[in-house]
Amino acid sequence: MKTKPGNGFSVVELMVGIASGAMIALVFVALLVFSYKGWFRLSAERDMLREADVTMRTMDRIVRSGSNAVVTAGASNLTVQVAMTNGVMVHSFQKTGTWPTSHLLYTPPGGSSSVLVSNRVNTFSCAWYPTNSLVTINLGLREGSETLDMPLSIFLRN
Amino acid sequence: MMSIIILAVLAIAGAAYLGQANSMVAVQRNRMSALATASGYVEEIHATDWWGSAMTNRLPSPKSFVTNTVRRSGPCTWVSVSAGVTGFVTNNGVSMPVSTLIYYVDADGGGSSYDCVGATVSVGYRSGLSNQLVLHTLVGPRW
Repeated sequence: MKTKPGNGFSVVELMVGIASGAMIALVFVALLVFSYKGWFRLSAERDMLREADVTMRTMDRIVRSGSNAVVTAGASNLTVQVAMTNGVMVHSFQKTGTWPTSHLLYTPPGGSSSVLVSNRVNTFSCAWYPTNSLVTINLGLREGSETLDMPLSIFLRN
Repeated sequence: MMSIIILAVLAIAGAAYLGQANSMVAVQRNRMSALATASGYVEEIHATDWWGSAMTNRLPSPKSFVTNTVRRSGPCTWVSVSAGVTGFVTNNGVSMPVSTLIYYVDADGGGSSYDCVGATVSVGYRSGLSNQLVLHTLVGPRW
Protein backbone atom coordinates (compact mmCIF):
# COMPACT_ATOMS: atom_id res chain seq x y z
CA MET A 1 0.00 0.00 0.00
CA LYS A 2 1.29 3.49 -0.95
CA THR A 3 2.37 5.90 1.67
CA LYS A 4 0.36 9.07 1.19
CA PRO A 5 1.84 12.29 2.55
CA GLY A 6 -0.47 15.06 3.56
CA ASN A 7 -0.83 16.53 0.05
CA GLY A 8 -1.99 13.29 -1.48
CA PHE A 9 1.16 12.40 -3.54
CA SER A 10 3.16 9.25 -2.97
CA VAL A 11 6.89 9.50 -2.25
CA VAL A 12 7.67 8.01 -5.66
CA GLU A 13 5.42 10.53 -7.40
CA LEU A 14 7.08 13.32 -5.44
CA MET A 15 10.58 12.16 -6.44
CA VAL A 16 9.59 11.83 -10.09
CA GLY A 17 8.13 15.32 -9.94
CA ILE A 18 11.28 16.77 -8.41
CA ALA A 19 13.50 14.98 -10.98
CA SER A 20 11.33 16.24 -13.85
CA GLY A 21 11.43 19.77 -12.48
CA ALA A 22 15.21 19.61 -12.16
CA MET A 23 15.55 18.36 -15.75
CA ILE A 24 13.29 21.11 -17.04
CA ALA A 25 15.30 23.71 -15.12
CA LEU A 26 18.54 22.23 -16.48
CA VAL A 27 17.26 22.35 -20.07
CA PHE A 28 16.07 25.92 -19.52
CA VAL A 29 19.45 27.04 -18.15
CA ALA A 30 21.28 25.24 -20.99
CA LEU A 31 18.98 26.98 -23.47
CA LEU A 32 19.72 30.35 -21.91
CA VAL A 33 23.48 29.77 -21.91
CA PHE A 34 23.41 28.49 -25.52
CA SER A 35 21.35 31.46 -26.68
CA TYR A 36 23.53 33.95 -24.83
CA LYS A 37 26.78 32.48 -26.16
CA GLY A 38 25.39 32.18 -29.68
CA TRP A 39 24.07 35.72 -29.63
CA PHE A 40 27.29 37.06 -28.17
CA ARG A 41 29.30 35.32 -30.89
CA LEU A 42 27.03 36.67 -33.62
CA SER A 43 27.34 40.20 -32.26
CA ALA A 44 31.13 39.88 -32.16
CA GLU A 45 31.22 38.64 -35.76
CA ARG A 46 29.01 41.51 -36.91
CA ASP A 47 31.37 43.90 -35.11
CA MET A 48 34.25 42.32 -36.99
CA LEU A 49 32.50 42.95 -40.34
CA ARG A 50 31.94 46.59 -39.43
CA GLU A 51 35.50 46.95 -38.18
CA ALA A 52 36.86 45.44 -41.40
CA ASP A 53 34.81 47.88 -43.47
CA VAL A 54 36.01 50.89 -41.48
CA THR A 55 39.62 49.69 -41.51
CA MET A 56 39.65 49.17 -45.28
CA ARG A 57 38.05 52.54 -45.98
CA THR A 58 40.47 54.26 -43.61
CA MET A 59 43.51 52.70 -45.22
CA ASP A 60 42.18 53.33 -48.72
CA ARG A 61 41.50 57.03 -48.10
CA ILE A 62 44.81 57.64 -46.37
CA VAL A 63 46.94 55.88 -48.97
CA ARG A 64 45.20 57.89 -51.71
CA SER A 65 45.49 61.18 -49.85
CA GLY A 66 48.05 62.83 -52.10
CA SER A 67 50.12 62.59 -55.24
CA ASN A 68 53.62 61.33 -56.09
CA ALA A 69 53.46 58.75 -53.38
CA VAL A 70 56.54 56.99 -52.11
CA VAL A 71 55.60 53.76 -50.41
CA THR A 72 57.58 51.58 -48.05
CA ALA A 73 55.89 48.24 -47.53
CA GLY A 74 56.99 45.62 -45.06
CA ALA A 75 55.81 42.45 -43.39
CA SER A 76 53.96 44.37 -40.68
CA ASN A 77 54.16 48.00 -41.65
CA LEU A 78 53.18 50.38 -44.43
CA THR A 79 54.51 53.90 -44.81
CA VAL A 80 53.15 56.28 -47.41
CA GLN A 81 54.82 59.57 -48.19
CA VAL A 82 52.67 61.80 -50.34
CA ALA A 83 53.37 65.18 -51.86
CA MET A 84 51.02 68.01 -50.91
CA THR A 85 50.92 71.60 -52.11
CA ASN A 86 52.87 72.82 -49.11
CA GLY A 87 55.22 69.93 -48.51
CA VAL A 88 55.29 66.24 -47.81
CA MET A 89 53.09 64.18 -45.52
CA VAL A 90 54.12 60.85 -44.06
CA HIS A 91 51.49 58.38 -42.87
CA SER A 92 52.23 54.99 -41.45
CA PHE A 93 50.41 51.85 -40.40
CA GLN A 94 51.97 49.36 -38.05
CA LYS A 95 50.78 45.99 -36.82
CA THR A 96 51.90 45.11 -33.32
CA GLY A 97 51.59 41.84 -31.43
CA THR A 98 49.86 38.68 -32.52
CA TRP A 99 46.21 37.78 -32.39
CA PRO A 100 44.32 37.95 -29.98
CA THR A 101 46.42 40.79 -28.57
CA SER A 102 47.30 42.38 -31.89
CA HIS A 103 46.70 45.99 -32.91
CA LEU A 104 46.79 47.91 -36.15
CA LEU A 105 47.97 51.42 -35.40
CA TYR A 106 47.92 54.49 -37.61
CA THR A 107 50.40 57.31 -37.10
CA PRO A 108 49.24 60.57 -38.70
CA PRO A 109 51.63 63.03 -40.41
CA GLY A 110 53.89 64.74 -37.91
CA GLY A 111 52.00 63.14 -35.06
CA SER A 112 53.71 61.28 -32.31
CA SER A 113 50.59 59.60 -30.97
CA SER A 114 49.18 56.61 -32.83
CA VAL A 115 45.53 55.88 -33.36
CA LEU A 116 44.08 52.39 -32.95
CA VAL A 117 42.51 51.22 -36.22
CA SER A 118 41.76 47.60 -35.37
CA ASN A 119 42.43 45.19 -32.54
CA ARG A 120 41.28 42.06 -34.35
CA VAL A 121 44.18 41.85 -36.81
CA ASN A 122 45.19 38.30 -37.58
CA THR A 123 47.41 38.86 -40.63
CA PHE A 124 48.85 42.01 -42.17
CA SER A 125 51.34 42.33 -44.99
CA CYS A 126 51.94 44.88 -47.73
CA ALA A 127 53.80 45.12 -51.01
CA TRP A 128 54.65 48.01 -53.33
CA TYR A 129 54.99 47.67 -57.09
CA PRO A 130 56.51 50.97 -58.26
CA THR A 131 56.35 50.07 -61.97
CA ASN A 132 52.57 49.95 -61.78
CA SER A 133 52.16 52.37 -58.83
CA LEU A 134 50.29 49.61 -57.04
CA VAL A 135 50.06 48.95 -53.32
CA THR A 136 48.72 45.60 -52.19
CA ILE A 137 47.65 45.02 -48.60
CA ASN A 138 46.63 41.66 -47.24
CA LEU A 139 44.57 42.29 -44.15
CA GLY A 140 43.03 39.44 -42.19
CA LEU A 141 40.81 39.87 -39.15
CA ARG A 142 39.77 37.19 -36.74
CA GLU A 143 37.01 36.79 -34.20
CA GLY A 144 37.02 33.52 -32.30
CA SER A 145 37.51 30.77 -34.84
CA GLU A 146 36.13 32.85 -37.74
CA THR A 147 38.51 34.71 -40.05
CA LEU A 148 37.89 37.50 -42.53
CA ASP A 149 40.37 38.03 -45.37
CA MET A 150 40.33 41.49 -46.95
CA PRO A 151 42.83 41.76 -49.83
CA LEU A 152 43.21 45.42 -50.76
CA SER A 153 44.91 46.76 -53.88
CA ILE A 154 45.31 50.47 -54.46
CA PHE A 155 46.44 52.06 -57.72
CA LEU A 156 48.08 55.39 -56.96
CA ARG A 157 47.47 57.77 -59.84
CA ASN A 158 50.17 60.36 -59.78
CA MET B 1 4.39 17.79 -19.87
CA MET B 2 3.16 21.07 -21.33
CA SER B 3 6.18 22.95 -20.01
CA ILE B 4 8.53 20.38 -21.54
CA ILE B 5 6.81 20.74 -24.93
CA ILE B 6 6.96 24.55 -24.72
CA LEU B 7 10.65 24.43 -23.79
CA ALA B 8 11.39 22.00 -26.60
CA VAL B 9 9.65 24.28 -29.11
CA LEU B 10 11.58 27.27 -27.74
CA ALA B 11 14.85 25.37 -27.92
CA ILE B 12 14.26 24.28 -31.53
CA ALA B 13 13.15 27.78 -32.57
CA GLY B 14 16.12 29.38 -30.82
CA ALA B 15 18.61 26.95 -32.37
CA ALA B 16 17.06 27.43 -35.83
CA TYR B 17 17.21 31.23 -35.47
CA LEU B 18 20.81 31.21 -34.30
CA GLY B 19 21.79 28.74 -37.02
CA GLN B 20 20.17 30.90 -39.70
CA ALA B 21 21.71 34.11 -38.34
CA ASN B 22 25.11 32.44 -38.15
CA SER B 23 24.96 31.22 -41.76
CA MET B 24 23.86 34.68 -42.95
CA VAL B 25 26.78 36.32 -41.16
CA ALA B 26 29.10 33.75 -42.77
CA VAL B 27 27.66 34.59 -46.21
CA GLN B 28 28.13 38.33 -45.57
CA ARG B 29 31.69 37.65 -44.41
CA ASN B 30 32.47 35.81 -47.66
CA ARG B 31 30.69 38.50 -49.66
CA MET B 32 32.84 41.23 -48.08
CA SER B 33 35.99 39.28 -48.91
CA ALA B 34 34.75 38.71 -52.47
CA LEU B 35 34.06 42.46 -52.83
CA ALA B 36 37.56 43.27 -51.57
CA THR B 37 39.02 40.79 -54.06
CA ALA B 38 36.97 42.12 -56.98
CA SER B 39 37.83 45.74 -56.07
CA GLY B 40 41.50 44.76 -55.93
CA TYR B 41 41.26 43.22 -59.40
CA VAL B 42 39.63 46.39 -60.71
CA GLU B 43 42.43 48.49 -59.20
CA GLU B 44 45.00 46.25 -60.85
CA ILE B 45 43.18 46.48 -64.18
CA HIS B 46 43.45 50.28 -63.87
CA ALA B 47 47.11 50.00 -62.91
CA THR B 48 47.88 47.85 -65.98
CA ASP B 49 49.28 49.55 -69.06
CA TRP B 50 47.02 47.80 -71.60
CA TRP B 51 48.53 49.79 -74.45
CA GLY B 52 52.08 48.89 -73.52
CA SER B 53 53.89 46.20 -75.50
CA ALA B 54 53.47 43.60 -72.77
CA MET B 55 49.68 43.78 -72.72
CA THR B 56 48.66 44.82 -76.24
CA ASN B 57 47.95 41.25 -77.29
CA ARG B 58 45.49 40.85 -74.39
CA LEU B 59 43.23 43.45 -75.96
CA PRO B 60 40.49 42.54 -78.43
CA SER B 61 40.79 44.00 -81.93
CA PRO B 62 39.46 47.54 -82.15
CA LYS B 63 35.74 47.69 -82.80
CA SER B 64 35.55 43.89 -82.95
CA PHE B 65 33.32 43.77 -79.89
CA VAL B 66 34.97 40.52 -78.99
CA THR B 67 35.38 39.82 -75.30
CA ASN B 68 38.72 38.44 -74.19
CA THR B 69 39.01 36.40 -71.03
CA VAL B 70 42.15 36.90 -68.98
CA ARG B 71 43.63 35.31 -65.90
CA ARG B 72 45.65 37.20 -63.31
CA SER B 73 49.05 35.56 -63.04
CA GLY B 74 50.59 38.21 -60.78
CA PRO B 75 50.20 41.87 -59.85
CA CYS B 76 49.07 43.68 -63.04
CA THR B 77 50.00 40.65 -65.13
CA TRP B 78 47.26 39.06 -67.21
CA VAL B 79 47.33 36.01 -69.42
CA SER B 80 44.78 35.26 -72.15
CA VAL B 81 42.80 32.10 -71.46
CA SER B 82 39.70 30.40 -72.76
CA ALA B 83 36.32 31.59 -71.55
CA GLY B 84 34.91 30.62 -68.19
CA VAL B 85 36.28 30.66 -64.69
CA THR B 86 39.82 31.95 -64.94
CA GLY B 87 41.07 31.25 -61.48
CA PHE B 88 40.33 30.81 -57.82
CA VAL B 89 41.17 32.90 -54.79
CA THR B 90 40.97 31.60 -51.24
CA ASN B 91 39.31 33.86 -48.72
CA ASN B 92 38.24 32.79 -45.22
CA GLY B 93 39.22 29.24 -46.12
CA VAL B 94 36.73 29.27 -49.02
CA SER B 95 37.85 28.83 -52.62
CA MET B 96 36.12 31.51 -54.70
CA PRO B 97 35.92 31.32 -58.52
CA VAL B 98 37.06 34.44 -60.37
CA SER B 99 36.37 35.45 -63.96
CA THR B 100 37.91 38.50 -65.64
CA LEU B 101 36.76 39.79 -69.01
CA ILE B 102 38.33 42.51 -71.14
CA TYR B 103 36.46 44.10 -74.04
CA TYR B 104 36.66 47.01 -76.42
CA VAL B 105 34.39 49.99 -75.88
CA ASP B 106 33.86 52.31 -78.84
CA ALA B 107 32.93 55.31 -76.77
CA ASP B 108 32.52 57.81 -79.61
CA GLY B 109 31.29 55.44 -82.31
CA GLY B 110 34.09 56.72 -84.49
CA GLY B 111 37.69 55.90 -85.35
CA SER B 112 39.39 52.58 -85.13
CA SER B 113 41.62 53.53 -82.23
CA TYR B 114 40.80 52.24 -78.78
CA ASP B 115 38.43 54.59 -77.09
CA CYS B 116 38.69 52.64 -73.90
CA VAL B 117 38.86 49.19 -72.46
CA GLY B 118 35.99 47.76 -70.50
CA ALA B 119 36.50 45.12 -67.86
CA THR B 120 34.21 42.91 -65.84
CA VAL B 121 35.35 41.03 -62.75
CA SER B 122 33.14 38.32 -61.23
CA VAL B 123 33.84 36.64 -57.91
CA GLY B 124 31.63 33.88 -56.56
CA TYR B 125 31.12 33.98 -52.82
CA ARG B 126 28.63 31.15 -52.50
CA SER B 127 27.67 28.19 -54.64
CA GLY B 128 25.15 29.03 -57.34
CA LEU B 129 25.38 31.33 -60.32
CA SER B 130 23.26 34.04 -58.70
CA ASN B 131 25.71 34.37 -55.84
CA GLN B 132 28.36 36.14 -57.86
CA LEU B 133 29.61 39.59 -57.21
CA VAL B 134 30.22 41.47 -60.47
CA LEU B 135 32.10 44.76 -60.89
CA HIS B 136 32.42 46.70 -64.14
CA THR B 137 34.96 49.36 -65.00
CA LEU B 138 36.34 51.36 -67.91
CA VAL B 139 40.00 52.20 -68.52
CA GLY B 140 41.01 55.00 -70.86
CA PRO B 141 44.30 55.10 -72.78
CA ARG B 142 47.26 56.67 -71.00
CA TRP B 143 48.52 59.89 -72.45
